[in-house]
Amino acid sequence: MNEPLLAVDDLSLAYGEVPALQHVSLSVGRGESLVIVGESGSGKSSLGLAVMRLLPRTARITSGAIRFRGRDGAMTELAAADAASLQRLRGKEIGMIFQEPMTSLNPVYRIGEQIFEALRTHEVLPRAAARERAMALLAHLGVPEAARRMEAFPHELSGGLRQRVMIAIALVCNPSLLIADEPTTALDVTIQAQILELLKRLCRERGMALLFITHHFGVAREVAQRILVLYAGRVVEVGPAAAVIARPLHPYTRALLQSVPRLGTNKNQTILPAIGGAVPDSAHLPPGCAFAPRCPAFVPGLCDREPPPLSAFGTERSVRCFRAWELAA
Amino acid sequence: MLDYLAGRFGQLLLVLFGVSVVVFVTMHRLPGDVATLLLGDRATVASLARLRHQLGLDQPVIVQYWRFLAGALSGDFGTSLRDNRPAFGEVLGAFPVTLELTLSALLLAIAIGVPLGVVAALKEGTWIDTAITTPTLFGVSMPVFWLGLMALLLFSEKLGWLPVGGIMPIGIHMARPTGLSIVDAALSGRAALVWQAVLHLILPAATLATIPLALITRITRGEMLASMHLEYVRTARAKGLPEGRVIRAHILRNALIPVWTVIGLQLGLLLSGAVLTETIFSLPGLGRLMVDAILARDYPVVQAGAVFVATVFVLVNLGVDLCYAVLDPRIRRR
Repeated sequence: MNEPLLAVDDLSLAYGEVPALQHVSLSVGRGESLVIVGESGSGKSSLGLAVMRLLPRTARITSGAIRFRGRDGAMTELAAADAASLQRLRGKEIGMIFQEPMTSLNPVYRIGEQIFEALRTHEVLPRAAARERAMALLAHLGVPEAARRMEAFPHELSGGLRQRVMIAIALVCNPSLLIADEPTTALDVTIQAQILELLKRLCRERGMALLFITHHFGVAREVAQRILVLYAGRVVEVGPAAAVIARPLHPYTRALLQSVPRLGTNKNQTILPAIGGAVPDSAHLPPGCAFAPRCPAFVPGLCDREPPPLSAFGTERSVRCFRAWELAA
Repeated sequence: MLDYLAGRFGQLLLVLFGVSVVVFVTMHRLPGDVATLLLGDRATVASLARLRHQLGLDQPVIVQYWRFLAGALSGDFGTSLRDNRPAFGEVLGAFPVTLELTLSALLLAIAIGVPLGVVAALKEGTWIDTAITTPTLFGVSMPVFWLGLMALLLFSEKLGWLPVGGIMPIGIHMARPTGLSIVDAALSGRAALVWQAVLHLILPAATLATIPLALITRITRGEMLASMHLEYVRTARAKGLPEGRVIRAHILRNALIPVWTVIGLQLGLLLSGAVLTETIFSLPGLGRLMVDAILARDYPVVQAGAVFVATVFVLVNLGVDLCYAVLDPRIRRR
């Protein structure tokens, strides 16, 4: 594989004394889409924010590196970068969209102004040209009557349109990486499908890499080339999307996949299987595997002694489970 | 929009009617009447009755109110019982003094309070924050008359830097077409007069500014802190905006909407007359005029003043509400 665009290496971060991510490593190649799947509290949003260095003040990166290959070929270590170099990359080379399109746009500015602002921060160009480009992008993103919407305020648009505006803001400078943190969670199912379709198309057209964060495997399978499953701040499984979905290695991944309703299957099944228990408190993780208390394949004496290591499974996959081989057999 | 304005003007009429009734009734229920006050010790029963008849005070209250209302609708509030000048004219003459004092105090409070609030919020929890917020607590709880007197003692009496009171040095006369001393001084074309006008305004304006200044600082700080962690601020940072622009265009811009409410309320309050400040600094403003008129049972002036103040208050509130629409597009109407 060519050199990755984004390489997160052994990243740990904590809110005060409570760890949110522990020794997370991942890489995203140019034009590749990696989906991070995890429940609330798994640390998936913190991961996205860490790459942008937009973590709240209480969060602290305790170890590791986040390397990003810029358009000029230079490598920036984001975890240690100063404010000026972060500002140069944010919005220009790395775009980000968020879960809540309702609150992620500033209510007092017109849509057009909010898109220009991103463009004019990074590029020197006349107002008319900026306007033209913002409008063309909105139209391209499927916003009807783009010229009129430019003059609208956020509250005058529907959730789906607002998310398209957020995408326009993130994409207006042609970033090489887009981080999408649950971008469809707050939307209706039909709008959700449209936005996912749109994101896939944009990545294809622009050769843009995608770091997509979701709690929903159904969404993940729509956009992912590779999937990374996060549990209690640790990577439990990573691999090509098709393989992970067809043959999950970690019991947690399997349980997550089973909890996704699918049309046409299990006609006689009326109750969707849910994972028992809850994500453990990050401040008090069990001594062994973090998933052990909820795991159907739990073996006393094996799983509750020390955390299993993340081990390679074949050439493209990794899994953090003592019993993965035995269970896969 | 027109419907809205028409509705607001309808409201204004109702408020004015209410104010006129309340003021009229209150004034007439107060013990002691103007005839007694005017004639003083030498009053006889006969002369009192004659004067009351002259002033129409022997008529039933409802008739007196009707006369007042009829006059008021044609802009005539009667003449002052003290010096026979038109009551409304006295009110209009006093208003510019109050207006000038209010505007300078409020501008001072905004110019200092907003930046202080911003700095306190940005430095939340540090000694800078404490150094700013602690005095504001004194600011809101400081009695104005005491503060004014102390300022007078220090800056006028001890240091001799600033004049003791009034709007111009004694003996200086200038034409007062607008009644605003700085504007009039500027119109007279004499720089020395402008300087004098400013000097005379500094202490009263600073005194009057303390409470609004403290309020504005506290509200700005609180609103800044509240909007700092909102998601659109994160979006702004995600765009790669420089921190200064994030603070100005996204945090402060939105935080100022509630600050504007405080400013609007203070404007209305201060315009109805800063009685204490005007009294301490011997300024012939609306507040002092009203207090003097009430003490002298000078009904026409009190009534004219009350109606005028109510009108100003309602109009200022309307103006504040219209400004909201500019500040916050969410409440803009079609």
